[in-house]
Amino acid sequence: MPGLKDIRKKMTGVRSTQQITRAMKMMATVKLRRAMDSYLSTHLYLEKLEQMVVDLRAVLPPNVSHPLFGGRAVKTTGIVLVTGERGLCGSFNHDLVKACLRRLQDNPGQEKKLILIGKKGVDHFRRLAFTVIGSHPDLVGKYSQKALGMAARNAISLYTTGVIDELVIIYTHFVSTLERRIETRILLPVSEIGVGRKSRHHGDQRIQFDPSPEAILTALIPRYVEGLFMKAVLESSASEQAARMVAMDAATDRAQEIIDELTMKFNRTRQSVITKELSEVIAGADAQTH
Amino acid sequence: MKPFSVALVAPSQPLAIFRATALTVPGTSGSFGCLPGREPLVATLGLGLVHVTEEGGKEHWFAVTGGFFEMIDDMATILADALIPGATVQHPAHLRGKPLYFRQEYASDVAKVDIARAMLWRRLHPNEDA
Repeated sequence: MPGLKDIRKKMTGVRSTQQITRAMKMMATVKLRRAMDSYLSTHLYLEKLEQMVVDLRAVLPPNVSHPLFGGRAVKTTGIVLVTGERGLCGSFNHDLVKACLRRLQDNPGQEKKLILIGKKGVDHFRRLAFTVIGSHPDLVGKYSQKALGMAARNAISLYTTGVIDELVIIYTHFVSTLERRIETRILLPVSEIGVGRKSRHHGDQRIQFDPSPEAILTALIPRYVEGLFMKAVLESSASEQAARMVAMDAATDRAQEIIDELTMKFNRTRQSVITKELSEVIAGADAQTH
Repeated sequence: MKPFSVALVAPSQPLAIFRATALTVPGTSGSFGCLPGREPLVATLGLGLVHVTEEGGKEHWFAVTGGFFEMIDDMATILADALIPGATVQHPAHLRGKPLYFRQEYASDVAKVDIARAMLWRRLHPNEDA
């Protein structure tokens, strides 16, 4: 049976761990808010871009082409995996790696190349024998539009130069603070834009275009893909912070439970020590009187 | 004059919305102005300054590095690649006292943002030495 000193030592240890988990939860809450702000503005930007593409396609002939619309056979697939920057967020990173490994095993005839975003994914795949053509360990959590845009443009250039024939992104879709879902989305070739959206142009409305509608669409499509890429990374970042917040909250609660259990144990032990000492004193006094 | 709505949107940046009576935007083929009741227009934007005159006469300046513009049914939307608000702009130190010449097609994103910041700062502080 542990002594009072041992229990007190254990309680101090758990209490300091609880302080750390509580601080981490608070940090994750602040970071989540920041990530959500970035994600929501990018989401809005994408919605507007999508609507613009729908409006443009309504006035353009249906067979209008773009280098990113595809139409070539898929021999090599580029897989962008967006993991977290750190651990201590439950099964967040593990689930993503599992989904990526599953995707790597699909269609064995196709060559697969990986683009890794987030330190955890980079660390995991460093030890495995897969072709990694891009690695961005510090991209998640910085919310830098410049860095995200550059990574997106690099990925697009891999498609336009023929290094890959398809670009797939595996990321975590943010549903709510308590709920997230792993999504796999084909970024390139661009196939479906604004499904379910209606053009806002009326038949009798005369629309001016500066420059031509074809030129605007040519400039819009890469921006749209860049936006999708950025949105996926920002959404993953928000999901990571939400997962960490929930995990740290659970850890703080569990630490409190352990502290309560230890306090109970400490009091019981102290009581038993006092009782033992008292019975010894009484027994000693009895021995002296008889 | 009946105002129209102006929304400035950029990825990872807060949304700015105004009820405006006049708007000037930097199109790729030159700056142009918009007033209420304008014919529908879709355009690409180059690097330059956006000027919004609000309903009460208050003026707002922004710099954009490029993007898209759309005005349909008295709703103007600016989708900027990067948006720099006049309220928080600072002059980039390495461009102080230098002319802002550049070729848009060759400038990197970082250079474009710096030039946009310098342009906006010089517009807002015309009498101060850049």
